[in-house]
Amino acid sequence: MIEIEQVSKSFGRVQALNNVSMTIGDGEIVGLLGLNGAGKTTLMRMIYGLIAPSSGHIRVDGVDATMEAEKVRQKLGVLPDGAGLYKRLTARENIAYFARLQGMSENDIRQSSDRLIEILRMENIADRYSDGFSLGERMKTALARAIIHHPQHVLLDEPTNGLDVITTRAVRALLRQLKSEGRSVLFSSHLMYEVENLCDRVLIIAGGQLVAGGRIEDVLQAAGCSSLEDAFVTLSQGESEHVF
Amino acid sequence: MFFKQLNAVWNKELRDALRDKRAMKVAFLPPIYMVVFFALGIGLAIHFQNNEEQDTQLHVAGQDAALTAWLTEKNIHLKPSPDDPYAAVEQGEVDYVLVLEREVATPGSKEPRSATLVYNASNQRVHGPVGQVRQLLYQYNSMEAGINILARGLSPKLINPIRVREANVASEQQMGGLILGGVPLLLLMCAMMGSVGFSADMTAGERERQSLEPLLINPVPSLTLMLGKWLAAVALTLAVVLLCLLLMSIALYFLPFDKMGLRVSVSAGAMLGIFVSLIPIAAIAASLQLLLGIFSRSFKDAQTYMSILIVLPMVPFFLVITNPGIYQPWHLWVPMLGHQTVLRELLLGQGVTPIAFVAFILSALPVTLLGLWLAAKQMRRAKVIYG
Repeated sequence: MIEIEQVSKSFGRVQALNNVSMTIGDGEIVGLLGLNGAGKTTLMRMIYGLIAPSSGHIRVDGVDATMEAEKVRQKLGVLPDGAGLYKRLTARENIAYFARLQGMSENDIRQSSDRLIEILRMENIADRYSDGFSLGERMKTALARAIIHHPQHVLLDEPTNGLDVITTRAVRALLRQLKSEGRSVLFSSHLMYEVENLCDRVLIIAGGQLVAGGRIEDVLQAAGCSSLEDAFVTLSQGESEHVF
Repeated sequence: MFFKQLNAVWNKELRDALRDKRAMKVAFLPPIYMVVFFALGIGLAIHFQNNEEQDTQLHVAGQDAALTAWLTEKNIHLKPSPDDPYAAVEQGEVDYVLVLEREVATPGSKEPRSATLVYNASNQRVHGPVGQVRQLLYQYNSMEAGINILARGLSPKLINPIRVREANVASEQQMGGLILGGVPLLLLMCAMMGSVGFSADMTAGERERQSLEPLLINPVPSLTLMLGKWLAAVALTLAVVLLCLLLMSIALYFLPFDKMGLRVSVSAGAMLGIFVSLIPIAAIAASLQLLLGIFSRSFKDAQTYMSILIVLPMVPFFLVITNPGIYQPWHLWVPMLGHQTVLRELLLGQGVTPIAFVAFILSALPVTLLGLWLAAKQMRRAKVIYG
């Protein structure tokens, strides 16, 4: 379980996040929605401990993300905003490098990467240097690299960016499988149908504040809209009205 | 877990580096052309020195049979002077001319004869040979005076109250050392700059290709990451140093030092000593490179910052080359300052106190560790990751 308690973050005079609280339970897929610059990425970065909150606490399975960042990182699989690959390593080597840093055995690495390569349909690129990869191919490699070590919690920043339809479906299937294994998934996206299709709950951030959160039906009802897109636009622009 | 992660990092960095054709070229080509230019330079110096020693030419105007015969005897190659010696020297047609009396002296005459050395002092080339001719003229002068005084029944010693002699105590090997003064510098530069390209890629490169953030999300202490990168950089530097030493041995073997009367022979043991004493330098270099690299936003920035490092071995080089007697035992404890002396002694086939190696290692440790610690600390700063 990821618990976020009254977290605020400011960069100089800019208030990026203001008093945000939420929990993401095990076996749950949660979508994080927000306009560009709403604070989604900042929130993610604080969970994996590369940025410390100005105030408030973040705990992952009861472990403080600021005080014991390393311990928290063992529980996380993260696809960050800019997920650069090592271009002189093959896709498989890129994946294996992070798996080794996570402390996996060579045998586990082989099995786990073979499985992910199959699920994400990466057979044709697995043994190619990542130098010439397309956006989608880079994304798939980075995604496989992020979850190779079977993390309990998975944080994905726009994971389906640049993926073709077939791979997008594969990613969706993968996320559902993670959920069924009792893992929690938090992902940010701009694609409403993506969120509608996949998420148990959505969280909408606007202007550094959490403006809505709950099951999709609840959010629609609260915003008085018939589609998630309308609800999202309404909630993102009318920041004063909080709906839970 | 620490060793497993360390192993993973340094293996990955080494593999990544070996596949980096650009950085490989930047690392392994300079030793090749540095040694080639060094060998050419020394070879030419030897060549010129040989020619100079063989014959000093002297244009002579006028006549003085006894003097010219004596000069010829002293290996001076005499040539007739141009018609107007002064104008010829002024216009640079000839470098210098010895102008003697126009008319043949009557035999037995004891009148002083004139001998004028015409040269242009602003011409750098003439100082050596003119000095040599001048020396010979004084010698001849005192010789003839001695004969004259002897004819009058006095001892020739009377006219030479002071007998001036010169003794050059530099041994052959030490003379070689003067010429080889640049070798330690060259080796230190190899050790200092060997892994610049790789270190830049491991630090600024990670930032540039946005792989630093995902890397840091792994549960690995940043010091472990830096240590792994450092090990890879040191290994690569030592490979460059080894190539440099190998090429240098070949060059020293084939250069015709014997023509200069020098004996330069560097044993395998001395080469090993040189290699061992360069290991601490490689350690310092890799650490400082990584530190400078993590501050840089891009690969190019990193290379610019790191070029500062090439100055470090030059400071002790100029210090030692301009003050040959400056060596003090505490120099051993200053990285690169002690190396300048110790490497030179090893090249000259002299024994080196084992304390030197201990001093090199112990003095490199704090610099290396401080650099790595600072670099590791920097790496986790949000400004570095997202800047």
